[in-house]
Amino acid sequence: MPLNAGGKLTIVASSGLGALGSRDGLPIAYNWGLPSIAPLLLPWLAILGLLALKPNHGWSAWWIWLPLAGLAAGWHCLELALQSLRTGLPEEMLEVLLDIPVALAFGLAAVWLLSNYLRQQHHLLTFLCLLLTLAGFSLLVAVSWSLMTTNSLQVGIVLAVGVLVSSVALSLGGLICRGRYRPLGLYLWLFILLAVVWLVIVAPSFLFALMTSGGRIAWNELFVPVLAVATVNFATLLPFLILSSASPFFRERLKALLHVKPEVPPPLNMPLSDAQLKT
Amino acid sequence: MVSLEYQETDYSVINWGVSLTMQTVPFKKEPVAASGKIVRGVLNFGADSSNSIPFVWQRDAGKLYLDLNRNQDLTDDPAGVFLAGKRFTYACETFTNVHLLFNTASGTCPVLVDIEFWDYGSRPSCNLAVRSFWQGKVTLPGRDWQVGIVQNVLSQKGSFENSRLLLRPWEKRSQSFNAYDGSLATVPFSRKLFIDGHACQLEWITGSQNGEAKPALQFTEQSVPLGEVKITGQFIRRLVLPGGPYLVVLDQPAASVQVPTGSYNQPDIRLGQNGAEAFCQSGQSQLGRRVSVADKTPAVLNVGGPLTNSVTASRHGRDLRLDYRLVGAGGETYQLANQDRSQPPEFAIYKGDKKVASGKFEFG
Repeated sequence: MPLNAGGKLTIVASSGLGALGSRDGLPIAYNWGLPSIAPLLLPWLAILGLLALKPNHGWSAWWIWLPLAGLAAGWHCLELALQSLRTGLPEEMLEVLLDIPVALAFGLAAVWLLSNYLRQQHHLLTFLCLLLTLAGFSLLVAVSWSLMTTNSLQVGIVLAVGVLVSSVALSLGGLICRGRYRPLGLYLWLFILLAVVWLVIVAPSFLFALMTSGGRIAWNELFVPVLAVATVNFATLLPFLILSSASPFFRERLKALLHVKPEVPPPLNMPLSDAQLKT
Repeated sequence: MVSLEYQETDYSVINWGVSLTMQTVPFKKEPVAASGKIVRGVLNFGADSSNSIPFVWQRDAGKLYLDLNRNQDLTDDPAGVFLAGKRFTYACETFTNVHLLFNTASGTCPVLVDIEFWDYGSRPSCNLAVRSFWQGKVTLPGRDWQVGIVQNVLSQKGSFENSRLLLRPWEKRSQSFNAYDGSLATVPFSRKLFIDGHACQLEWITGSQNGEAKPALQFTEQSVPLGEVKITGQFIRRLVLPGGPYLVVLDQPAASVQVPTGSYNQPDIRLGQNGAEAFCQSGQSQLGRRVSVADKTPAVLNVGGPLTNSVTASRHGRDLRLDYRLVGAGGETYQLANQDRSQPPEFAIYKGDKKVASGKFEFG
């Protein structure tokens, strides 16, 4: 419902009935109270709360709004565009599907802001902390934006798998790039890892369908959707990666989270000792 | 007495899902194996295993072999080999013009079917589109009627308890029908029938000729106490009152009609006016609401047209949910016959005089 539609509404159903009745039905009245804005604001307030933490003091941390707001606005525009294109998908489903990446984006923003706390001595512990934070904040968005009220099971599964895949890809990306932080290499690896992890998760059910259909399902019915989902997943992650490349504050956060070794400072030009000179 | 003749059609008169017993062990004799998936098993028709038919479906080759003589040899049935007509991307194939013979208590009984096999998911499934029925002509005082039986091929051997009775004016005999298309051309078979103001005892007579079943129907007019029913709605083409002492079938009833006294379930109704048609099948949903017809006090049936497009609104979180119903004079729910699904009902929401939202309802 549009936000300006609060108050007493009159609703009319119409359909051609020929000689059996009138096209327009009897109007009904419905008093529509505007939904509370608090649940909509809750995820934003949660991020604001994280900015109040001591490690996030200073304006550098506030750059986190840029990828988050950009993603929220971008997906909303995409939703409006797809609605106007009449894809055939029910509007309600389209809205839910496109809100899932935004929920994931809030989870990523939380991870970026909490990375000082999430980094543990062991990679596995860091992975678990990352997973729980991502899952917790994404779920908070899903629940407060009522994404779970319609098609709860499907939304829950897609979001949970998205969280798991993102966490695994980030952890594996950290392992691969732990020797040296190279932004472009990390981007590329993360895209490959997202695609591979999605493929590993989806492949068993595809193979089962393939076997039961006697091999009648084309392989592109596996690869095309996996590539599409991995691309959407990567598009959600990319703005945060770019932020980490552009901002020294978040670069250090990401490097800490991914267990990238600190770069060794170049050796100073010290005069050689007598012993060295002799040899 | 009305002798019934076997009649084949080019449309399906009823559809049935058939249970399959799958097996991996080959039959005694099988056709040469084709490449691709082979599905073999038995088509089960009700509890009577003597009517079951072994089959081999060469899915990728689009071939179906039926063991019509039921001897586990699928190579000696020349009339039992079929090529798929319609094939889809996935495993769904239709085999048309399949003539089956069923054993009944009074002899063999032919049935023409289209068989549709599906192989989605874990196990194949099968649907039958029946394209034959038994029909004849009966003259009740003042009018000729086409009567017939749409046999339930899944019923017990020789039983017609779960069959459908075709009952329509003789002049409509060339029109296509389906037992569940809302036309109400067929009604559940009942031994006590009240039609066109006549109460009849209906008997099913199963004769035999050269080992083949020769069914017939016997109508015996009866005298029963009647009560008045006032019908408030309009445009009623047919109204069927089930669940009472007689199955009452009223065609284009007047505002006041006489029917056998007793208690009935809510009616099934077919409406029609200038080419527009709709139907209401009360089914099990309104079993609690009975219609009582007594000999002294008139009963009132508040059903029929005109129809009204109705919407109800309810809140679901941030969403306003709208539910559509097409309702009749008494609030009963109708469905348009031949509904064009590309033109679903629409809604418009106004705040004052300003339209703030509009859209189309989705089916489901």
